[in-house]
Amino acid sequence: MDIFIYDACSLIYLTKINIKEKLVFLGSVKICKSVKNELTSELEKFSDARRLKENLDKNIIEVSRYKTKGRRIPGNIGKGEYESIALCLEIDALFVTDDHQALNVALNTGLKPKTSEIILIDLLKKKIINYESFKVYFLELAQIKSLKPEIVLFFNEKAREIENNEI
Amino acid sequence: MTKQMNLRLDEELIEEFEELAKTENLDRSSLIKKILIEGLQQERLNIAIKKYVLQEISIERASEIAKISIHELIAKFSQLGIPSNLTLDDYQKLI
Repeated sequence: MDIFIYDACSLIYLTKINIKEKLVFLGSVKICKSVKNELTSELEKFSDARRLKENLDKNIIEVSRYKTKGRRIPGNIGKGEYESIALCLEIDALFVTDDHQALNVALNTGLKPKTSEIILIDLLKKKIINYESFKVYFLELAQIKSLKPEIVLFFNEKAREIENNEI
Repeated sequence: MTKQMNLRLDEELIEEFEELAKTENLDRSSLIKKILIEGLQQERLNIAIKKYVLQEISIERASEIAKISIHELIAKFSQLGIPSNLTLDDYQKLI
């Protein structure tokens, strides 16, 4: 079974579009300790934080005890993103991020990260969600992330190809 | 612990502070302190957003610079219509 290490922003986006519960069908959902701290901050203010806390309490989202002791974090990414990348390298897991900088740091280490959009594509490919559901989830994600039109077009095309069994 | 800081300001600006302090029923120092704190928070956020938009830093690093939670920053991005910093080129590398 694949292990997916999510950073904070990707898990928040996937929570916002109400697809978080389906992630376990792709593989185990893991996060680093520092990502957990980010996700569960401001519980009173954000419903997403409360929903993520519930999943953490029920162990649907597992927290790794991995620590990057003494290593200097690059100035362009955050602690949680850095620890997530390091953990992926350590345990050969898949990194999920929705950030350009984190994604490129991960690519430079040899990882092949995924984004929320690619997670949706994977769910469609594995028939965990159907094409109609994909469109609904993706539209919501595109709105939340204010995705650029060319990116929306790119993923709509990919999904259509999957639907037409071209991929 | 507090420290004293001396600032040289234009007379007109000082008058404005005094006028506003009266309206707010505050002493001049308290008002300036309040404005400085709010201004500092806003400036941190502005710098974080600018660096994020220019793709110099990640979203998490931006939240560290702005000293707000990532939930709060995502909400701010959404309110301000700031698009994700991922590019089509990024996605094409992954699929």
